[in-house]
Amino acid sequence: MKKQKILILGASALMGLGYLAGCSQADISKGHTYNTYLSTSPKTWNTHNWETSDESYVSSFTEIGLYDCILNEQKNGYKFVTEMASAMPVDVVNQLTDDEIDTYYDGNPTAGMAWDIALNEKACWEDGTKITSKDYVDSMERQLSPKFANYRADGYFGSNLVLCNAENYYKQGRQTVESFYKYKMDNGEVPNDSGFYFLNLGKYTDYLTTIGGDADTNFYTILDQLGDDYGVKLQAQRIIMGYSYYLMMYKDHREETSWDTVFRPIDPEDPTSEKVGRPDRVSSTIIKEQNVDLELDVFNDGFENYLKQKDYIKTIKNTEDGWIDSNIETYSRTALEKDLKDVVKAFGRSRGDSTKSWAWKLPLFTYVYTYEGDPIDFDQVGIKALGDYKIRLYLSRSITALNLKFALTGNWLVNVKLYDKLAQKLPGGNSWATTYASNKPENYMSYGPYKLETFIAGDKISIVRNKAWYGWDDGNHVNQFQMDRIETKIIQKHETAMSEFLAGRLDDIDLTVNDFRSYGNSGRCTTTYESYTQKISFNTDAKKLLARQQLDGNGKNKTVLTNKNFREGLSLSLDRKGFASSATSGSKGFTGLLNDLYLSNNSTGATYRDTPQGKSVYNLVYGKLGKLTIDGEDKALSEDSCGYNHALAVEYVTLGLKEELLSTEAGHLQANDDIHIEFRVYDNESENTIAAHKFIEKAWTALLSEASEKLRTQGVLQANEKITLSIEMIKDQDYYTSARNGSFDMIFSIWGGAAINPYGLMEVYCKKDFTNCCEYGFAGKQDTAYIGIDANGDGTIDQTDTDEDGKYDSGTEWKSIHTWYNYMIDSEDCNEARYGDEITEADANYQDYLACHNRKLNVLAGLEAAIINRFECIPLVARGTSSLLGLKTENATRTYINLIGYGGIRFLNFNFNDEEWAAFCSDHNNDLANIYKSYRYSTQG
Amino acid sequence: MEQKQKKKDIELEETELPEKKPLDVSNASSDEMALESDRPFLERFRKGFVNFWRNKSTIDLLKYIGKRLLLMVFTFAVIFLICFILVRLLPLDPGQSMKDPAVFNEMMVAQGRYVKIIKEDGTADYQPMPVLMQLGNFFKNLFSGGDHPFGYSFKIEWLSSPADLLGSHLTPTVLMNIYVMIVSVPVGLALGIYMALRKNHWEDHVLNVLIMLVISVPSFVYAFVIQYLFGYVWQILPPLAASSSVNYFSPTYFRSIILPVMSMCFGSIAGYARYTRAELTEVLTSDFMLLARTKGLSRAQATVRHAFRNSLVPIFPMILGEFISILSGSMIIESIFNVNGVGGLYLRSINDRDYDVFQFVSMFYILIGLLGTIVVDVSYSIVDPRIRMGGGK
Repeated sequence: MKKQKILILGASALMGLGYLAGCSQADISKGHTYNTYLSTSPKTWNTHNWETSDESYVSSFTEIGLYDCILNEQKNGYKFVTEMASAMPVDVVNQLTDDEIDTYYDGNPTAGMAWDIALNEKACWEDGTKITSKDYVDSMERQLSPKFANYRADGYFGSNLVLCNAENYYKQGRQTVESFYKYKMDNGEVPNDSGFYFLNLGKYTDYLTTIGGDADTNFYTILDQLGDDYGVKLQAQRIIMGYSYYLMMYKDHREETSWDTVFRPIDPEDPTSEKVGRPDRVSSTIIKEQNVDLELDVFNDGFENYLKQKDYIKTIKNTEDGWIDSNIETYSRTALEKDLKDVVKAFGRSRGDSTKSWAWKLPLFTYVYTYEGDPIDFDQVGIKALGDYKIRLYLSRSITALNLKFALTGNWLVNVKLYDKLAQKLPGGNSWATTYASNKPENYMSYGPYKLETFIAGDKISIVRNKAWYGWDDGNHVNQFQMDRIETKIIQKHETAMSEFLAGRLDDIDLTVNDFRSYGNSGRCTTTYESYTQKISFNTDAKKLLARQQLDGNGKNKTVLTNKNFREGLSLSLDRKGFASSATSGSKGFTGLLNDLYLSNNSTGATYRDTPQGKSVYNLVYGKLGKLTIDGEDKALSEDSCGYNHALAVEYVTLGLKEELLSTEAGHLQANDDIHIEFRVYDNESENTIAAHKFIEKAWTALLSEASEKLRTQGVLQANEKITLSIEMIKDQDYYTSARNGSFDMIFSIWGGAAINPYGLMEVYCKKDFTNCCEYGFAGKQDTAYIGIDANGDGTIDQTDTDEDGKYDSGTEWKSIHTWYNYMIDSEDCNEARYGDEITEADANYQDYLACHNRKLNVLAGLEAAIINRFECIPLVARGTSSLLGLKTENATRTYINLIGYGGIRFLNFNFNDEEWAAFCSDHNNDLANIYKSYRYSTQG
Repeated sequence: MEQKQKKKDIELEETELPEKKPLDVSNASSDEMALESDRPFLERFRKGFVNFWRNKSTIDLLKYIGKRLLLMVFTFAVIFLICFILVRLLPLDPGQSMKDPAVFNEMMVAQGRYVKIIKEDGTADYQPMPVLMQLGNFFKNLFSGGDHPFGYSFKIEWLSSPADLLGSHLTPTVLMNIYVMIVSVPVGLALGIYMALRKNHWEDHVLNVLIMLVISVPSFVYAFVIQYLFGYVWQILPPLAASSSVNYFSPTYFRSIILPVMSMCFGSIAGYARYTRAELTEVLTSDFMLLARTKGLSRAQATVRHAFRNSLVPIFPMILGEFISILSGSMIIESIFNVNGVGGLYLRSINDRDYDVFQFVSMFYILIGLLGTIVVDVSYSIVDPRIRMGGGK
């Protein structure tokens, strides 16, 4: 009986479990659900405050701009359509009344400074309430409110779209620290009428830590510049040199865990003297802080302490001779204090503390902006409602219709009623914040094609069709936005997400390097390119390399990096295509600075790389290698080789090594030296970085081995001698600062910018005073490097001095890199804007425009080639990220198109509905791995 | 020193049991019977209650609990202080929104790191606030009855209260841990008993090896294996936990957390089995077991009635300890199976440097841990009345 009871109980329990285990999940409908994932849930999606791409995720479905840039009918480019607007913007500058001009403008506005935008009268919130012009104006008031100090406020005064008085409205009543360069005038000075310069050598603040990487906190650059401007150049230089020496000699290696193994010569003057470990090392915490600023305590504990010890810190005696032995002296604390005081005194007003004894310890050079005018009402900000369905924008900077439409693809619209209801004052201060568009759907109001249904932080986001959206029945969106629901899971682990994708429960997945090896050839693999080019940048400063080499000790060499032939050989040895396929997840081998995304003509969408000028760059670099030949044949490298030729690389490296071995310069390469390259990277544990490190090291060690063999054959090296190369990867999250300070051998420098403005991006390479200059060994020397560019395209480099005002240097086609850049950006010769952005072949001045356009492109291509030809940076890949698109859906196009990718969610088609997809997955045992691996469009698509 | 004190506190003594008297109901009517039947219960309850409070060992126990509670408050305060100071010394990562120093400074004020000073000219100056002052402000805020006594979440859920955040993540974690207990305690004990009874037989050896294997291998390893096999290869169960939007007590949710529960159970089962086996083996060899058998009890009767009960003395507090820890989540298991529980919240508060949340969750766990220790200690005297707490000798 007892046994029977037990049996019955056990059977019941098993049946219960069986029932639970057998319960099916939610019913599968015949709708179209797109299942995707995020690795973290966004803390907000407020259009006024979003920061990361995750935080714009929800609003990309639930909001829509006044205009949108979408795939054209031919599916080969883009076009603009109206969305929340009902018509294209109209330039109304000629219709402005005197009152309007007085209210919004200092002088008379020119074309492109006032625009009318007719609003879509059918637009409404998800609850059906109409959206009127008042909503736009009220939303802008919240966007620019000094009370809320919203993160995205500067989008309406810090970019192309500059609303009149928006900046002063936003900044009134507050002191803001601005980017220095914003206020710098053409003559290099900064206006003195408002604001202060800060010399910040002491007071450490969290803010400095945060913005440490920003251009205007660069200690050296700004100190140097202001020292020059205010007649204290020597003092400024002495501080810089002294501090650089300190950083380089005593700080550089302190973050290494193996500090105790770093030995220094007892006599700093004699690198060959006995080496001992330094017991008085400084903690890595202090060093980190010093990387961004000279913090007060650090200053006392670090730099200043070293100054007390006689041999440690060196500086220069005069600026003319620079860093040569006869001009170097030991720095003392007294001398430093005097220099600092001189500098501060010269700079004048420094927060009113210049008379205090510690004033010289106020940190940070920057420009503090204080709005000192009359209080500004929002009525004076350049946005006004004209009736219920029209707004007028008053701009303080002219903008073309095209750029305006670009700018207005985003939206600032918020539901003001809810926004204000959810606003709260932050504790302690005067700032306000709102939880609008944060945490839960009740805190938000959608107005786009979709609305937010569920938001559970850390769990899932459900987005469904917004039935109140005007687009479902206006006839302009037929076959668009086919998804009924978008279910987004928060999945932290990539492996889990990948498994879910392969089981058919996710419709897309980002690929890692490892995934890319398996799925990179799949027809379902799509790559989204970024405007970034990943490059290797070398330190080519002989003095800094020598100092670093001395720290490494005997048998190590770094100065060889100054040799251009050597660097050129290193470049030629890199199989960029191989690198892209084995060490990246979707990037492609690339030899230029500006990749395929950059547009040469925004109106037509033509890309720079497709222009004859863009195409010529490769040949300008790899078609004129000149010095060395392979098998007696001097031919250009094929484009297909992507700048890779191992045999030629060996030749160049051999030549470079030979030159260095035979050199008489201090610290030159010796036989049996190991070329020790510190490779500073942001994250030395990331899959991509490790793969890149292995790839480069393998290529270069093999190269050095072959070059050594050649040198032995040539008799430059003895039979038992060789040159080796080792790359040490070092984690340095502030590696750009390290590079700017010269405390590096090699870094990954990654640079990119707005794809619609390739010309402006060249600033980072070409302007001598650009503080974040990418080419660190070259920084500041751009005005001394002269190049010839056939700007007018007549086939010859014209060196006749026809530059009448001398503004752009002597010789029309022979200028410094710095001057060429200014010419391309500022000169009337290259000013395309004067022809408008909708000029066509039918226009009378089209030929003039074409000449101007081509001139600008010629200069751009010439500059790009000139920078690459220095081989101070070696472009490796055009960055891209790959993902797999599930079989359930299909992109509108299989070709990547600038600005709109593959068509986006608007044109995503479904191959299966939910029910069919479930059946399909079930038929394949919920394991689609092999299908994705072998999928090819040519056979199956 | 503390251990010595504990040893003094716990001592065995003979417990005086109240004398039992037979109830005389022979002359009572049926109504009276009913009243009389109530009376003895109330009487007994009253007497029991009075005796309980008069009993020396009870008073000692209460004193002991009081002392431990005071000690707990002190320990909690010390840990809190250390935690608070260390957290406040960590650098803030204010995010990209801090591109404007004015906003940055205001946020630092909001997070209690800076103090805002309005100067004579009306402009504001921001100075870092000393940590002790921050502590003072924290307590002021805590007891002032504001909406956010424990601060704000600035990274995970914009301006949410850390207490609300913890509350919203607690249910799946608690539920999962309860299931783990329901499965692991009986299975673990049963395995332990079986192994003890089959000591040194092949079954014991096999199970011992398996148990050592489970204990040695980190739980996330077999969590991945379980997920892969059951979830993706055999597709018997969902590989991920269902969304929090599903009713936590629905079959769908239950089904979706079977795999994480399995992953968490293995360790517990192994622990219980190993411990039970060791205790029971020792008890089974005791003299009183021989006596029980010689008195005519079968092996099963002797084992269940005498051996197992005695072996439970050290095991029960272990179970109780685990029961208390149901509030805590497993960061790794939750992350693997996508359970939106407190483990994940804790991990995210660390990764995102959401310090108020991190501090609140940390202190919550510390409090649970301290309370758990007290309950476990006290439970010894409940399980075995011979153990008297707080004897003071």
